[in-house]
Amino acid sequence: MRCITRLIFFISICILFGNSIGFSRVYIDITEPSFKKLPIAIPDFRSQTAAYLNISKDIADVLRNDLKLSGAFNVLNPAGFLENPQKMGVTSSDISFSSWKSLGADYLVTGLYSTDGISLHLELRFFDVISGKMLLGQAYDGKFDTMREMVHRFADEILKILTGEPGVFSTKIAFVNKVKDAQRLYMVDFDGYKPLLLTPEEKLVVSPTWDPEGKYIAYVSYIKNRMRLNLFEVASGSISSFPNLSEIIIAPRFHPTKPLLAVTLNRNKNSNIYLVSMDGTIVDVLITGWSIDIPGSWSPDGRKLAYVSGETGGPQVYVYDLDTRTKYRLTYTGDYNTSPSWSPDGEWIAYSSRINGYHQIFITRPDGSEVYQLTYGNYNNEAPVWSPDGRMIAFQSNRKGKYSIWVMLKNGREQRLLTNMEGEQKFPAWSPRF
Amino acid sequence: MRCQICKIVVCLALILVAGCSSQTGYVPPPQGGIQGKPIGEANLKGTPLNDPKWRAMGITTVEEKERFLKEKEIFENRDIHFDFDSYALTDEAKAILNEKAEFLRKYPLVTVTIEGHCDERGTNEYNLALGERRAHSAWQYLVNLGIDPDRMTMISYGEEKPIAFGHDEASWAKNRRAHFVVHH
Repeated sequence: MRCITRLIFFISICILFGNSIGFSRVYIDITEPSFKKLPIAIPDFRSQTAAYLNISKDIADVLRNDLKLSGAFNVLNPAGFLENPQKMGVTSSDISFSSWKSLGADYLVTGLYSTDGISLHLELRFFDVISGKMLLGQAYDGKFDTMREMVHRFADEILKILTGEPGVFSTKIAFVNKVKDAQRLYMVDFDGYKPLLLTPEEKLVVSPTWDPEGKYIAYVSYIKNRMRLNLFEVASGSISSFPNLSEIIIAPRFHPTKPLLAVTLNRNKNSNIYLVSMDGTIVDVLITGWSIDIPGSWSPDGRKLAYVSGETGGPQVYVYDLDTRTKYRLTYTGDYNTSPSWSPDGEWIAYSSRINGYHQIFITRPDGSEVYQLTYGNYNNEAPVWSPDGRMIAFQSNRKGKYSIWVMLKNGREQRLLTNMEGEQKFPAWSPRF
Repeated sequence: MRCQICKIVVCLALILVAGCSSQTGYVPPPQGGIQGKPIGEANLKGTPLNDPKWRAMGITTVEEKERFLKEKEIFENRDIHFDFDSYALTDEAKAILNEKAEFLRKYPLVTVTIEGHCDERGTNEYNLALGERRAHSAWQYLVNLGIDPDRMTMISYGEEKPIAFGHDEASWAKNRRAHFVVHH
């Protein structure tokens, strides 16, 4: 993760000094209340061969949908476009910027592709219509079935140019899906495309958590009336078990910078929050006591742990500082506050709080100031987790009768259903960038 | 302790009686079809059970085995229940746990898993912790009654394994429970 951050920083420096698009730019914050969505035109992509014309719209749709879901763009309806996408120019010299301007577009993306159905060559260009300049041009070569991945990567780059922070269109969201009696681990693309069953052999799993590099998903599995901490390897699909840690294993959370997990274990019949290494060794005991204590979320630097404790009765959110080995209570409003989740920039903690019998999602500063309610309604909104760019929050909601995973911007707007599928979906866990 | 010795003496006596009866009566080999079993004196005290698995548990007759299975069924079917968001034992729960202790004393070789469960209203992970506390409350109470702590393991299912599926107090009350599973 740190490596990626450095890389992003390096690229940002390159862009600022010495790159062709190195003009000074004021980055926009799409979650500011005053933000107005940027109008963008994305005509169907142009095919270089007569074959595979039919995917022209499909590929463009992936990008249209990404940018729409980002909350940053008003994606113009292509039905109103004047030019035939298969004949129009894709580079600055061949584009009539004034006509795109008259359609109300501030930005434009053109695409050009050629394919034999096995491999795919895709060129994408992002233009500032007002200045008539290309802001980003990328060519991708790969297998045909990596098409969506190519488009997501380009969308990530577009967001970076405009906001200084790449998008999260190539990330995935793990969750647990209960169909009849089986509750298994799944993973889905950012845009909700193709939910994949990861653990067909399991009968009951809970609490997936990603490692900071996105290589593993740890989760709790029930096998023969025993709880196990399992590790799913994303690249191979293989599953391994941690050595027998304890008869009780609750809410594992990967440390953001070290190969460690915070997890509640019951050792010697007393449950505490432990720090466990990847080989199952107990490294430290963080929270002890007779009340309920479960991990919630690490601060991005890994020096603090937001956790939930029932030490005063109903559950409340606390923060434990590993350096000073002190704790403080974060939430004072409401009698049922759970599921804290620390934003990637460290500036916010999202959590769920029960009001009038329903759980709703709130955000607050790590010092407890500035509390904002993001969700409302006579249904539950629970288990918030942040996108790695900190612009969105995924959560579980039963607003349509059964539980599904939903995604919203961090200001509570643009709530959308992520998992439109059979069963009940819970325990969202957003991957880091891969 | 004295009681244990009594039991052993009774067991030995039973084995002796059973042994004697097999010497006095001729048992013909089964010749196909449904056959009646010869009835000897020992049947007055119970049909001897030769399965070493049961004998190891101190269960030496078919009748004892049946009694055990019946008591086990009652033991497993009787959950203890909790108030909303609470893991304190109610008086009713304590009374049921007293019965459970009796069963565990009577069959000192069985082990048991105590499952903690919750209703659907809390959040999932907190409910896993609450289920653990409920199982722990039951465990603690039984330990205080003298049951060997190592005979009991705990597990929490939180709200993930409900037995009642309504979204009302009647269902919630059924789901706020500790459930007991016997291993033998």
